[in-house]
Amino acid sequence: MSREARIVGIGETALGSFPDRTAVELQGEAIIGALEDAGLQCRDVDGLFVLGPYSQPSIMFGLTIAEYLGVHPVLEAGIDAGGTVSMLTMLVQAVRAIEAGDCKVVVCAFGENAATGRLSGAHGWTSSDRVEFEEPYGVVGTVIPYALLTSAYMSRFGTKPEDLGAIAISARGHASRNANALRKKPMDLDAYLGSRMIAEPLRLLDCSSIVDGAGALVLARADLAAELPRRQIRLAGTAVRTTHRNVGQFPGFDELQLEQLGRSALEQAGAVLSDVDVALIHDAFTISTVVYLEGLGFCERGGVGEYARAGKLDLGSDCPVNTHGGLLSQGHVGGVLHFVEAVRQLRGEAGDSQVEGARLAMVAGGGGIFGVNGVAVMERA
Amino acid sequence: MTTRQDDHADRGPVASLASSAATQPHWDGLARGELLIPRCESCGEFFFYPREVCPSCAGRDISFRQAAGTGTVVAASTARVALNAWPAEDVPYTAVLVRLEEGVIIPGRLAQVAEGPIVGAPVEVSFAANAESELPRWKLT
Repeated sequence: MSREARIVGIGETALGSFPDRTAVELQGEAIIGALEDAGLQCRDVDGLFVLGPYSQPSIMFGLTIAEYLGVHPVLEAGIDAGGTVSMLTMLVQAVRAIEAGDCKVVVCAFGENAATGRLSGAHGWTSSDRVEFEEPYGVVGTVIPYALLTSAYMSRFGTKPEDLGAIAISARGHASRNANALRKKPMDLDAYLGSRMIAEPLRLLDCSSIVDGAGALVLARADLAAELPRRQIRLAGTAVRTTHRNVGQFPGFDELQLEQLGRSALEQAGAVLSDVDVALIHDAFTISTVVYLEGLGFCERGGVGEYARAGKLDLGSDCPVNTHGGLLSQGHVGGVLHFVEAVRQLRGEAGDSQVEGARLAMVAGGGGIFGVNGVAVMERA
Repeated sequence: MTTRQDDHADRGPVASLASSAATQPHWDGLARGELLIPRCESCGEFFFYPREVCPSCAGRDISFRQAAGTGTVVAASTARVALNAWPAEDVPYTAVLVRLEEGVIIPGRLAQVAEGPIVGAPVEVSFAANAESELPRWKLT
């Protein structure tokens, strides 16, 4: 019992354009913020999992962060599983390290200057990517690969541009309540449909908002957590499946096995899908939200547009989605802020965006071009 | 083998796209106007992209076979703006994933800019006269 792990602190920097600050400084601020939130100090940290900036290749980033903060973890590593699954994997490893008795306080963080720190000539992520069988044909960056799979999904399940628009509109509505969101100006369907085509079938307003910023979570052993000020949150279940790295290796939407992932994570928590009070869904593009909501079974395949237009994504529904505005409208910090928001909701500290009585949260999403997918279920301890 | 850079200098731009000896036959084939895809001699499966080991059975006896050159579009996207690192001089262009008759999926580009959705459309590969310096395109049939 005493070796169980609890999430005890969250940190989130302001999101925006910070060309005069580094990824190290941004992550440092988020980590210190999370430690302060937890009632802990840097000297308490004995475990550290981080991910270096995608916008600028980095090595030994865990060491860099440990040095910068003056901490001396017995366990530190960079974890780059991909997208939301990077933070999911950090949290799982933090829980295991605490349960094993290796660590008492573990920090997990990600953040970067995605908006202002990108190397010249870099693709969606880093310039070190060389995709031998795709790049020569112009299958580059992130938008075109996502657009390719969007076309496949629309063809198979009948998803319409208006359905993608409904996702973007709901995310914008939630962002308008979030003081730390990049894009708060209300959006309607005309604005969505009128936004310029980037890579058909994806428009500008299908794409997430690239931003500078960072987020962090702190976990502590349950006996320590009991002495700390915040309501304790537990990682109650997780499931991950990997399939591919390159979009050309995409095995088909059924092969992602999202429904099985969701069921597995929920079963570990002793819950079913209808128990989920709030869902934080990786939304690098609107199609991401569609694939996860339909794949996990929140609505039928091809039914997300109707689901969204009925208000099922919005605050006030049974299970609001991306109450912080998501990557689409709050800003893309690799999915770490999905976990921060889940904790905030479960603590009852989400202010204007609070889901009444939220006890069970699901964070679901992926990395690459749907190449690794994961589901985390979190609950009040 | 000698250094790849030297080989590339002799082989022209298409052949120089190979990152390793294991992928070189595919690019050499394209440079000659032939679509060669790898096949595992142990389990008989075609696969793509070329690699030293078969992704189905981990077999290492890999041969290259000439594909029929026909297939079906399984995904398509037309680039409308030139974002960072996109080939600006080519925009607009239509990127595709094509499922070959042999069953494997291969990334490529359409010969024309697609007008509307083309997922499910049959296509055939088309080589330029100067295949050693120009990549093949897929034509709607």
